[in-house]
Amino acid sequence: MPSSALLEIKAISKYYGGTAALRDVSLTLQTGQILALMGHNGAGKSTLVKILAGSARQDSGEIRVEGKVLPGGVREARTAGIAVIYQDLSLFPKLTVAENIAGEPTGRFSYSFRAAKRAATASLERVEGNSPLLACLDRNVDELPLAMRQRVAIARALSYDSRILILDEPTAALSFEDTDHLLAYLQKLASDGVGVLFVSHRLSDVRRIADRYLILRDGAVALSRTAAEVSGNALAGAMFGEARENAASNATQVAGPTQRSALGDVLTVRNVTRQGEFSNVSVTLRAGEIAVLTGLTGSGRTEFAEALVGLRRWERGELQVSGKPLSLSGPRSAMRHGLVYVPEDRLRSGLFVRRSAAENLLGATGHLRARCGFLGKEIARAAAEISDFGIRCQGPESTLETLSGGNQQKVLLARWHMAGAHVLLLDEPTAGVDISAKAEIHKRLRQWSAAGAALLVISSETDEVLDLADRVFVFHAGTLVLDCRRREINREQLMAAMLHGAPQTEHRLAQPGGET
Amino acid sequence: MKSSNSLLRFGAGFYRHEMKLAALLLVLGIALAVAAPRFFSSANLALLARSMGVVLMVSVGMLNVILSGGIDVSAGAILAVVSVVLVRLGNHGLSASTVLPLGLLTGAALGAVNAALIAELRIPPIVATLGTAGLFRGLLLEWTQGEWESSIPAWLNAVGSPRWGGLDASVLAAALVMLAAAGTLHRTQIGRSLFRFGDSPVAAARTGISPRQPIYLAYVSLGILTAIGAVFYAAQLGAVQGNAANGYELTVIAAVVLGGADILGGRGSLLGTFLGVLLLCSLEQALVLLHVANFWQNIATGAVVLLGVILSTTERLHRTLLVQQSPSA
Repeated sequence: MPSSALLEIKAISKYYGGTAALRDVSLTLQTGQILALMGHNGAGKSTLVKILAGSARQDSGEIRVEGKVLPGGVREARTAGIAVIYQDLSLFPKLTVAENIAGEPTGRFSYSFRAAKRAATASLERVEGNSPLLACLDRNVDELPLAMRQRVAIARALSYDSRILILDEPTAALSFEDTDHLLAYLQKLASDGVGVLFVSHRLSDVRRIADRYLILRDGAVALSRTAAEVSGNALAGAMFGEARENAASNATQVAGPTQRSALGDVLTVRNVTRQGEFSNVSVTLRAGEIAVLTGLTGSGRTEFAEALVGLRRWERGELQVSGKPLSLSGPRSAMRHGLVYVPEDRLRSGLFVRRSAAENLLGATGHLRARCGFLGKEIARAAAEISDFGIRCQGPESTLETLSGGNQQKVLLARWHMAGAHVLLLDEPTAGVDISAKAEIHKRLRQWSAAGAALLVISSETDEVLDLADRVFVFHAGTLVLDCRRREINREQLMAAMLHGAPQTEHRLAQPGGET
Repeated sequence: MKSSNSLLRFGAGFYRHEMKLAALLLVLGIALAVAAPRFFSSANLALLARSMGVVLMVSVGMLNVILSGGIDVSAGAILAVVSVVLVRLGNHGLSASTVLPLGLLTGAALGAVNAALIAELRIPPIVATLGTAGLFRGLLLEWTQGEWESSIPAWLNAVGSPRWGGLDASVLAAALVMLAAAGTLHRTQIGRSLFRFGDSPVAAARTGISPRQPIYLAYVSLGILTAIGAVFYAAQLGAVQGNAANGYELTVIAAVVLGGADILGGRGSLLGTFLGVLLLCSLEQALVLLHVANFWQNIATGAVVLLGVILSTTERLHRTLLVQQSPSA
């Protein structure tokens, strides 16, 4: 019988409703190992993290820490030595730094500020020697900038004896220096015998420290190899799914966007810059064309799209709609020019989920077109739109909560169709919808575009980019690194641009082999 | 050097809001010294202290609730129920040693009803306590049939009578409550869990804090503190009836919020609550001394509460701006 691993996950599955978030995922983490857990949005990474942290329970399979079965529950996970640093940090913003770091419930009855402060100091000194946080132990966390908050979260996770450290996208908000520091520290921890599970999108960070890779795709393990066995391209391929390359390119040919003649420039931005988010971006959206904007999470895609409709202000640059220079004060003035942004988080910032489908459809323009405030005819139009868009629901009066994700998304699209929008910025329109709904949404978008609308779709999914796009934009670290037609690019070039900011070379990465 | 540093922080950090309140009190004090020097007579100050005791006890309980991210608008009803229970049972000849524990138990039980509705059935606190406020008050009126208990037992009367230079036992009790609360809130894990839970329930759950315990702690402690307050409330009034303490919860919430507590939870202090109660009670007392019409008292109280809240809001706005401006890289 082999000696037990530090952490062993055996065939765990987790279902949310009918959808599998994790399917038969297994992994082992040895002492001193740094395991990179990768995969794009919705691949199941955060579900796995939640299960390990004890805040969610798997539906089947088991987890063992040093041979002992891990019971559910946050405290139990902690006692077993698992520490998690969440992407949202999960700090207490109104409490002091010292308390955030060392004020964890210990099971003891009494609590002492002084002891917490002492423990926090000790923990900070151990983590980073002369930490700038030492000077602000008594400040509230909400007074600190983000990078400092991240340090608080890390110091907290390391303040108690953790043998398994899980980091969810820890470098997303860090500068290069801070990242270097963190990575070096993780290596030191690993050499001290801590097992590190490092969840990240940033291939360049991951490759510097990982001993082993585990890639999830659609909730299942797509790749599990040691660092020596695998090249950067193989990682990217496993992350984005290369098996479907053929199917995707066929689909593109069927859709045949190439003959369609663009009707003219509808929206042009030149050299727009917003400090820390995107810089010097110039793009043109044309009528009758679907442009897909892609890039890793955090590359500034969403920020850029929000800026286009006036949700964020840029510092430099200009915007033209149909040839006229404009300055938009917000979504309302953008709407007046037919320019609409459909956010990714449809439940929170797109839809009125407790209201009926009809009301949601009229949400954009009902108040503009109602006759003396009465909506009679408009409701009939909404009903027509529902059947036209193939939205499956009990009727126009059914509340949106009762609809599936795909149908909710269709309601959102139908709303702007009714409103007559002709420039659409759609942020991840197919995130979290099932495959058939996705195909339907794609079909709608193509029809819409063929009818003369200009579409900008933001997507992290390579398949979707290649399927849907007439034109491809790629963002990397806030700059537009690629702007070309779909047929001028293949999957490898696209992935290289997303990951490294350059379509061909991988010169940013010092890596053995794996060059194309 | 270290002490000067921490003193600076005392001014600029932790107790910023409390310093502003103290300044507000100072302004009020100077104005009163000119307009109504009688305010500072020892008799009047003793009266002020007596009027603060009960408000302060209930406010400390309300602070617990607000820290946990909740609100309780049934506190006035609980105060009335417990007062009537104490007086009625006492008048029936039960001894103080039986009546007092029963009173506390009643307060705790009513608080537990609120907590259960909020923690188990996940009813939003404002709705749950609005419901129970009506329920408690209605049942009380049904029980008393609207009649006054116009006399109180002798032992209760003794509790409320002034001694020690015009002060009564409520002042001592309030001081003890403050001490106990300071100990619990700052020196125990369950006390800290109240702050954590109120600040971020998600983060609290992720550190293994129970999603129910802080709620029970908050509402049951408010129930118990209100019951303690009820002893002195009944003792000082000398007579109670079902409509007693109508709207009391609003004064208490105003005092806590004026004291700098964040109505969304997670932030607040005992010192601030004390200053909030002191400010509201002195203002009321002063306006009585100055023979100001009743409605003007309402206007003044409302204005002061708003002023206090605006003070703490601008502070928070300023803080948010600071965070946004500082480079995040």
